[in-house]
Amino acid sequence: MTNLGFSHLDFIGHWKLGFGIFIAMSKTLYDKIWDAHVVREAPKDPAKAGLTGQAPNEPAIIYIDLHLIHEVTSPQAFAGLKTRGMRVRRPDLTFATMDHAVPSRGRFERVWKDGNAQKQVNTLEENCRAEGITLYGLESDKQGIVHVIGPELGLTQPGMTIVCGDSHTSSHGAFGALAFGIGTSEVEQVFATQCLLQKKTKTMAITITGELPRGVYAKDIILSIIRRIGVGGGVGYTLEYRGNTIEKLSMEERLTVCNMSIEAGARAGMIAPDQTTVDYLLSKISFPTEESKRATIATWLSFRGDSDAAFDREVKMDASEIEPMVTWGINPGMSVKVSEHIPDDTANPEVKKALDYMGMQPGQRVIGQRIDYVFIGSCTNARIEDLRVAAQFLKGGKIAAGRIVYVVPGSQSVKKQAEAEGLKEIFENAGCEWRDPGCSMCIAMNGDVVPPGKYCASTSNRNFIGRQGQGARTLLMSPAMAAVAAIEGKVTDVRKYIQ
Amino acid sequence: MSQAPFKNFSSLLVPLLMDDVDTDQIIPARFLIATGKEGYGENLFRDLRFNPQGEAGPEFPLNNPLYETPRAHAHGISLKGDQAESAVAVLPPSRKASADPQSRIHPRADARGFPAEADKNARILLAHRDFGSGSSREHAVWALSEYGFKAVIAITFGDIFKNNCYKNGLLPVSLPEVAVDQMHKDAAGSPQEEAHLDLERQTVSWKGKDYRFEIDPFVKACLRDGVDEIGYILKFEPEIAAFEQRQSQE
Repeated sequence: MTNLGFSHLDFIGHWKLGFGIFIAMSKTLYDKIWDAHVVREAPKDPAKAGLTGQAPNEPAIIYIDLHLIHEVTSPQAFAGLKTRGMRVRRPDLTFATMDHAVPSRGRFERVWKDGNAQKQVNTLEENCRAEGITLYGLESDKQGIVHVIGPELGLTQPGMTIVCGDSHTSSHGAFGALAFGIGTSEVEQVFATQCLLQKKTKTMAITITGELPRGVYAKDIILSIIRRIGVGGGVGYTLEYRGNTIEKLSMEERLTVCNMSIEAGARAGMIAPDQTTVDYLLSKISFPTEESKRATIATWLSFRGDSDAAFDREVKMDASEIEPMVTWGINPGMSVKVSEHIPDDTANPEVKKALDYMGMQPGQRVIGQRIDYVFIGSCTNARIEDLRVAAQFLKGGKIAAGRIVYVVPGSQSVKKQAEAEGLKEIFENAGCEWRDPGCSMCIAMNGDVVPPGKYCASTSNRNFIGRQGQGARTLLMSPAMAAVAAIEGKVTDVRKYIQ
Repeated sequence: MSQAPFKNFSSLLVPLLMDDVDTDQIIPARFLIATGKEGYGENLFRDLRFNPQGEAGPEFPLNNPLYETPRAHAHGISLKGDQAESAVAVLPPSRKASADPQSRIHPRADARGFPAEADKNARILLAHRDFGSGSSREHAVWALSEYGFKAVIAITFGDIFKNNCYKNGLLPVSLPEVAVDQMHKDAAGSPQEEAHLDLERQTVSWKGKDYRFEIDPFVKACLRDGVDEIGYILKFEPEIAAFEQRQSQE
C-alpha cells in the first residue's frame, strides 16, 4: 500500500483507487473457487520466478479436485505419462467412462464394426486397471456420457475445480464448480501433478430475470444467450448465469445452460449453488453423521459470489422475451426465434456460406423446414427431465413417415429410470429408436451418423459443418421442439401443442 | 521430455479465408480413432479439402501444390496424380507452383539475417476469425503440426485450441482484423512471397511490413526454450504436497 503514490492522485483518482480496493475485497464465485485452489500464486517478485533468470509473468498453479476422463482424449496422455516413468498422482480423484466412440447399439458384440473404437475402449480399460482408476465401463450400470454421470454420481460438487478432455466440461459449472475442458497435454499434466498452470480469466455476469414463457426451456435460454453475445463473445471469460429465472431452474436445466458456455467461446460457465443444488446433492450423497452433513452443506453454500462483487462485463436479459429457438446456420450463434425468418443477407459471406451448406433459402421461415432425422440425446439434453419432456409430446403420436428418430439416454441410470417410467414404450410406440447411452449422433464417430444433405433436428450442442456426419445439416433445438419436429417431419412451433 | 525449442523461420503463407473454422473442421471426429498422436495430418481439413465423393476442391489452398510440404508429400498427405494436376490447372499461369521446393526459399533470407537453413516443412496458416473454436480435441493441433504448420495467424482463436497449440510448439499469432485482411489481400496477389516469423521480436515480416503480435511472456519463454510444463510444475512439488495436506485436514 505504501508505494502506490497516493499523494500524486487527485480527488477523483483517490475515489477510483478506493473503489478499486473495495471491489478487490468483494469476490465473485469464480474468485472464491480460484482462491481456494491456488497451490502457488503467480509470483510478483521476479526473483521467485520458476523459470530461472527471468520474470516471465508466470501463471498460477491451481489444484484440480476432480478429473474425468474418457476413451478418446486420454490414451496419448497415459502414453506420455508412461514415457516419463510416472504414475497418475491422484487416481482417487480421477474417474473414467466410455462415451464418445462407443456404439449406441450392439456394443457387446465381440467384434465391432469399428476396430479402432474397440482399441480405444480396451486401452482405457488397461490404463485404468494399471493406474487404479475407477472406470464406469460398458458393463457398468453407471456408464454414460461423462458430463451426465459426474453430477448423477454426486462427484460434481460446489466449489470444486473439475477438468476433462472435453469442451463440454463447462456443464459441471451448474453446481457452482469451476469446470472447463482441456486438451490431452493438459490431461497428462493433471495425471502427473493434479495441477494446471492457469491465468485468471475475466468474468461475465449474465443476468436473466422474469418468467419463462410456456414452451420455452433451458436450451432456448442458452441459445438466446449465444445469439446475443456471439460465438466468440465469451472468449477469455468465465460466465456466471444468475437472476431469478436461473434460480428457478432445476439442476438438470442448469446443466443444459452451463453445457453450452463453450459455444459462446467461454471455457467455463457457472451458477451459484443454492437450496436446489443442495437438495439435488443430498439425493446422491450420504454422510456418516449429521454434523458432517451440515458442515459440507455450509461449505457448498459458501461458494456464492458476494452481492457487490464486480464483473468485467455484465449482460442482462428478460426471460419473457425468449422464444423457442432454432439454429439455421453452421454455428450455434446462427439461430432465430422459431417465429422468425432466417437472414437474407447473402452479401455477408458467412451468411451465404451457411445458407449454401444448409441448403436453405435466404429469408425463409424456419417453421416448415423439412427434417429427416431427429436426435434426442447428448450431454446437453439427455437427462431424465429432457426425456420426460420429449415423451410428453410423443405420447400417443407417431413420427412422420420416413423419418428416423434416435432417442439416446445420457446414462445407464437415465435409461433405467426412463424405462421404469414407461418412456421407452412411448418412444418406441411413436416409432423412435431407443438406444444405449453415449455421445451418439452428437459427435458421429461411433456409427451414428446423419447422411450427407439430410436435415437433423438435434438436441445436441453443435451445428458445425460436418459435425453430425459429412454434409449433414443440423438444426439445434430443445427436446420439446425436437419431439414435435419428429411428429410433423418439419420444424414446428412447440407452443402449438401446448394450448 | 521437453519439446523442441521454437525456431524463427520463413515460409509461404497458406491463406484460409474463412471464419469459424472449428476443430471439427480441422479434423473431423470420425478420424479421432487412434490412440497415438500420429496419422492425423492426412485428414487435416478433410471435409474442406474433399467433397463427400472424395474429390479435391481445387479452390481449397491445401489442394494447391504450391503449399505442399515435403513432409506432407512423403507421408502421402499430398494430392496424388490427376487430382494434383487438375488442382494446378485451375490456377492462373502466373500462380502455378514450381515443383522444386528449393525455389521457394526466401530470396532475401541471408541478407535479412534469417536463419540460412530454412525448414522446408514449415508453413504458416493465414486464417481469419475464431480459428479453432469448439471441441477441445488436441488432435486438431497434431494434424496441423504433422502437415507442417508451425504457426497460425488469425484475428481470434478458440481458448482451448490456443492452449493446445502452445503445448505442441505451434504458435498461434493473433493480429488485428485490419492486418489479417491486408495479409489476405497481399497473399492473393503474391502467393510465392515468404513471410518471416520472429518469436523473440514478436513479428511477422511480410512484404516489407513488420506485423507485431502480443504473446504472454511466460508462454513465449516456454516456446523459445522448449520448457516442459510438467517438469516446471513439479519444481513446486512441496507446494503441491502442502496444498494436499491442507485440503485433507479440512
